[in-house]
Amino acid sequence: MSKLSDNFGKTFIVTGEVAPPRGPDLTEYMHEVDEFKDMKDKLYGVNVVDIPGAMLLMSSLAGSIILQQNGIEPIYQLVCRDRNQLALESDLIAASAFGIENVLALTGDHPACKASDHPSAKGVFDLDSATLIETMKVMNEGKDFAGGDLNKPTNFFIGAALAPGATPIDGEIYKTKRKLTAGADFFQTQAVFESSLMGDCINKYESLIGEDIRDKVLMGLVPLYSYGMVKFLRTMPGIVISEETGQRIKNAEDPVEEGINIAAELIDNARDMDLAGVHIMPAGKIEALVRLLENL
Amino acid sequence: MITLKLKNIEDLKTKTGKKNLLIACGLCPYWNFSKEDIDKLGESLNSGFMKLPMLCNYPEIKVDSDEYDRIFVLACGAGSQVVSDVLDKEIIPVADTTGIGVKSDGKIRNYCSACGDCIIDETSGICPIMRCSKSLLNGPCGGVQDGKCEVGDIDCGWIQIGERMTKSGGKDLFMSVRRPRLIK
Repeated sequence: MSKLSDNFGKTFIVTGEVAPPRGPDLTEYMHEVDEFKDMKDKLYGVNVVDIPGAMLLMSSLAGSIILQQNGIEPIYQLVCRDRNQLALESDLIAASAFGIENVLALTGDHPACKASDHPSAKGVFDLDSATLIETMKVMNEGKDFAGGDLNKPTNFFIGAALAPGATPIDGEIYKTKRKLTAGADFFQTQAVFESSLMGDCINKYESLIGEDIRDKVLMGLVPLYSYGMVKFLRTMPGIVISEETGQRIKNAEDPVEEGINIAAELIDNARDMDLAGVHIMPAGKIEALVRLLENL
Repeated sequence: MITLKLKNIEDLKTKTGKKNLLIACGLCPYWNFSKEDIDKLGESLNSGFMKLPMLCNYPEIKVDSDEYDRIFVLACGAGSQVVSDVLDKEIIPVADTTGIGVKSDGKIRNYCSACGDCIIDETSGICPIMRCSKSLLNGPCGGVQDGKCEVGDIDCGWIQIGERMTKSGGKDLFMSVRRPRLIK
């Protein structure tokens, strides 16, 4: 059992996130790994991102193995954009062989999305998030996606994404139920800057599906550092930053400090909403994560 | 009809020779482009021009291809190959085939990719392979904003599928997991 799966639903979960390097020099990555070692008592897992926004990075599997070998529990992010069924299953077998249990199943951003640095790359999408979740579920039963046998069952704790900012939201709600049916154990949301957006999403799920999902949801948080960051994030799909939140950063004497204050308030909001926990994406500023953890 | 997108004209000009011929299929290109635009294309390529009926019927092509050092073809991918087959000569396509489409309100939209595995009975009569940029069998993805795809200004096919399906009581079908199938 992973620490994350063991504690999920029993305590307020906090997870972090790290990006593998954009090249073979691991020096900076290992510095971050050292910082995570100091935080590991307060964190239940650290996400390792898989080429987000189709911007090249070292593989998330290698990044996850490094965390695992340094005593930090990884949440291995795996996207369907770059691999067919065989490659996904092969990487999952490798992950399991190295003791990785937490996996976040993602469809992946399109290679031609706005952020991409490889717009001519071919998008594979042989599977998608729902069928990748199903794949992990059958692998946990000792089978592969095509029905063949594995020499031992895997032990994946299966995560999936939830986008509270998708509009219209109904499709996202039905898809979330689909992922749950497929075998998802928990959900991580895209970055949320307004707790009302999260609340509306949870309530919509309840009204459309007739179930309460909050004990399976980690709310995604990104501490804001500058008004430039606010402006940039507002151009991203699904990101909602209110005028009031934007002004707080714009008018702050110390925008980094104000961003940490806003994130701390959102953590309180997540507790008030009885969510399973929060997923903090420090976007390269690991000290913000350190500060937020100090106050927990 | 087959939908076509003209290649970059400046790139095509670099491929012209001393004596050029443009052969156009009389069907789909004239549905995609105006006659004026097709005439202009011939002028830009400094080429002679020949319009043939449906190239997919393998028409006879009465031309001495040795007279020309470059033969351009305005047709779908199949029609362009027919010209090459009939003349037994290399050709240069001037358009890319992008799918099978419809025209409404003066706009051409791709509806079918000829994937060989039609599943629209499971997706409210809307093709997710062509009308979702990721060709997802289990959409929509999280990138949808105001019903538009994260890639370009196109309507999200999965939002349309969801709306039509839930309207007719197919919520459970929408929430089911569709697996990729072996195309025989």
